[in-house]
Amino acid sequence: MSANSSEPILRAVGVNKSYGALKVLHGVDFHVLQGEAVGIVGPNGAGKTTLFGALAGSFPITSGTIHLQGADLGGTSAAERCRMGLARTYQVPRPFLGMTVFENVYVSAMSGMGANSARATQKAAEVLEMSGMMPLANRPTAALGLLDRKRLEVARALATGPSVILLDEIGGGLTEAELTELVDLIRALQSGGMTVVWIEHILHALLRVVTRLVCMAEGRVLAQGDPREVMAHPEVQAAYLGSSPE
Amino acid sequence: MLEAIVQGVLLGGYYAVLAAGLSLMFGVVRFINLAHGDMAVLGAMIALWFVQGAGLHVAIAIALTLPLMGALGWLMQRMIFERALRGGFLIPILTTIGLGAALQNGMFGLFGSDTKSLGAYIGNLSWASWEIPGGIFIGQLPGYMFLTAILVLGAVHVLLTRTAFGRAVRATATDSEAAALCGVDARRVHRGAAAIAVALAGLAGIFLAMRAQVTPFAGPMLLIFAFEAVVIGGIGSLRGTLIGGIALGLAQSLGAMISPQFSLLAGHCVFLAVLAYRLMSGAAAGRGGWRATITALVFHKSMLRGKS
Repeated sequence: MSANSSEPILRAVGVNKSYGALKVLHGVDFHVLQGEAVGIVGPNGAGKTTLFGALAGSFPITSGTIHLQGADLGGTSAAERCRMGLARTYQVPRPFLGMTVFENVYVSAMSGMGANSARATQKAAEVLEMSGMMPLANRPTAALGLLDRKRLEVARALATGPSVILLDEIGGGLTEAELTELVDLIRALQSGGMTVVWIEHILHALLRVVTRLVCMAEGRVLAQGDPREVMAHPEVQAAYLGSSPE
Repeated sequence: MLEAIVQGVLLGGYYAVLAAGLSLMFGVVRFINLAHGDMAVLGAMIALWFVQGAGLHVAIAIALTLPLMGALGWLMQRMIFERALRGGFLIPILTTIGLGAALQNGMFGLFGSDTKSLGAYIGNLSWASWEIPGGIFIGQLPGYMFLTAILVLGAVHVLLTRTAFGRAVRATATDSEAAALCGVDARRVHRGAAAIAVALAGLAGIFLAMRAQVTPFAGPMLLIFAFEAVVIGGIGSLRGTLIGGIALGLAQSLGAMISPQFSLLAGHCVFLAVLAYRLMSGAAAGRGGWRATITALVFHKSMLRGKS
């Protein structure tokens, strides 16, 4: 499968999110096509992670609509969205401490796919193999370093059997070699038909994967389209450099 | 002395079962059920009704009461606790205080205020004992209760560590938001945990009715014992709860050697000493503030939240 389907698999229209008087998202329109890889960039506080939270159902949105594979997600919980095929990772990994790497992934497979124990075990093993975490399967997560925690974060999301995966700054803090491994993994996922949305500050890694870039600033979508054109956009440069170009 | 120690350990099994439900509710649902003791009494009253009212055998009464209590826990989580939890920190506390009062007076209305006991329905079990070398007598009933407590807590431990439901419970207890993103339905997990907790309370109530008497107003005292065992052992860890229960039982049993009035007081003293130690180590950790202190206090030995 490739990005040739015209119907977006995930579409958000006019999404607003306010915390009291603080408006974090201002009518954000966002979509991603089946099998597409989209990058989201923007300065800190642009609302990127909030957009992920809104899509994944971590909190109710103030107004707007979100559809996944044509189904309205309004009123569905994060757990329901996960089981509908939408997975999300956290910028700061949040493993289930006190459980092993395998158990973390197994819980995901069990709950996210609604699989029986045998199927969940198989899925967990597959995902651990794919993410290169198999040797650590019986390690308690509390003993993992940052890279492995990030890989576990991705593995746990993959174990839910998603059709769309939202990756939140999984590249930060990694070495160049680790980053290359990560890029290869995400490319492999995408060529396997998965739709990828990736928030990342490390542009050279992001641009090796995504075919479309969305730039956000101050809770709005500033520009989107071909990655190089978006990065050359004067408003995008202004948002990144903090001032208008002369 | 040795005999008092043995009695104390055996009594600890009963306290551990009483405390395990309270600990589980707080560890998983983040909810302090102040009606926990009253639910234990309710379990005893239901079992008593099956035996006295319906004329059933005690074993059958227990087999019927425990699932009934589990179903009640599930329903209460669904109908009452879930809604109360949305109201913030204070509402669940007020709700369970109210629920406790309703349970006490409801039971008073239904079953009367007489003290009741299952002791008369378990044959010679209430007084029979084994003699072990050294001239020590072990009551058969406390012995069986301790064994049951170990088996039941062991079963709950296996449930939490080895089964899919248990892993979902632990994931939710660690980070309910991240668990939701993995597709774990926190409400189902919470209802399941509440069912287990209330069934455990019911079992503890039945134990009490076998070894002593119950009245509709015995709940608050049971709640205090449960709290003490939980604080001594650390919340969220079944092994800790068992240790806490045994420590409380030992303190009471050894205290009774000094004077019968000192029995309960000795338990309270151990509880206060552990509490003071936890508070001081919490303050020493420099985390400051009463919230941090309470967190340090209750998660000192948390199994559910992993290494702390």
